[in-house]
Amino acid sequence: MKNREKAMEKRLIKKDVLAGIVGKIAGDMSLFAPTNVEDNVLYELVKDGKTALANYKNTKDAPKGFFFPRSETLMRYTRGDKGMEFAGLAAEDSGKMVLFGVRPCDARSFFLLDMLFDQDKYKDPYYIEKRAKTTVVAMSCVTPPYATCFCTSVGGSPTSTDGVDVMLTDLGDSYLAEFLTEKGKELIKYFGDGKADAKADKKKEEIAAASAKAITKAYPAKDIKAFLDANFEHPFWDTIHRKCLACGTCTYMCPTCHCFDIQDEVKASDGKRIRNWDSCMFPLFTKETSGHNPRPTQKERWRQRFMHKFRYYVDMFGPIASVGCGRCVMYCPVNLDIRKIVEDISKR
Amino acid sequence: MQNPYVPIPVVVSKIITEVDTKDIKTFRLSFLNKEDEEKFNYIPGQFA
Repeated sequence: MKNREKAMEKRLIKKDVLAGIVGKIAGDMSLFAPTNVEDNVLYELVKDGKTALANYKNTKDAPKGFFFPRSETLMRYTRGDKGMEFAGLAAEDSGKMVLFGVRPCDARSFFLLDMLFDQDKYKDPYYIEKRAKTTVVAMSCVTPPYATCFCTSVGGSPTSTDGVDVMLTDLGDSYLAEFLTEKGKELIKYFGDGKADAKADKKKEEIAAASAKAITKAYPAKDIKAFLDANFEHPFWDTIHRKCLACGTCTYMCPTCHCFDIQDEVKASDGKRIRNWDSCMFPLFTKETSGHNPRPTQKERWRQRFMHKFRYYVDMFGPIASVGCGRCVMYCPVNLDIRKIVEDISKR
Repeated sequence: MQNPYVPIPVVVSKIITEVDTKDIKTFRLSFLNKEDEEKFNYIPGQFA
């Protein structure tokens, strides 16, 4: 985040006090944390710190929905004497919020989405307001949770602090808490006075190095840009989409996908303009009023999805628009693997 | 911060039928408020 401070504060806390800290924060503001919901790990509003998981792989859903909800009212209108009249913005004041236990890959998605929703030429007030009110407390990946993790290939790491306000790292018998931003430092009072020593720092460094090293497979995601720049039209694009069902699961699970559609819903005299998640995998996403569709088949849609992440975002903002969480790989019903596409392109 | 999703009130001042099939029309819009007109910048896709 922009307000990241160079001088970082740190605390060392015993493991058994974490639930109490979470509970205290949750008593003062809305706190969402990974919790067990039947067989899934999902973010839920937590009141009792004990329900927040400290040992988990990652949540099923990416947390982008906290800032860019699946469905969000943008404004309201009503029928007046002279036609439809503006009736105000949707007043949904959520207050201060803490997102607890975010994995570094997902926190990095906030860093990437900030570049789009909070840029010089376009500012999305809905995203920016929720983002400003929320403190992100992340949990380092001491070991990469999944075989499908590929954060290190796309600019992240198991201990990346991009998008993080407070970083927690499990050191074995204690947690190292690093307060990285001004927003993060507002939570320091909950963590007591246990100062972190050089030994804790050294252990954190060792964990960071070992965890990154444990992701043994490297995908040449940064090396394929030249191919993408030169090959918008290439027979390769005809080979990757054939088994795609166009279900859009990859885009809905993705922490960085952000395509949306805007719909009006009217009941009697009152209307709402609503922004809903959409997907570049769907034919209707680009179908124009005339009936023409500039992306007529799944070939063009897959090329768009891939190009958006590995070429267009890089051109616009610098980083690749993937955090390597692996959800698209894990949840694709036909095992279409974006990592393999990267590899295949790199061999051309 | 300017909210790009808040609509600007206008009136349809003229409708021009462009083709014999009558399915392509040009709508001329006029701002109701002078200050909206002065601040307005056209961006492709704005009227989708």
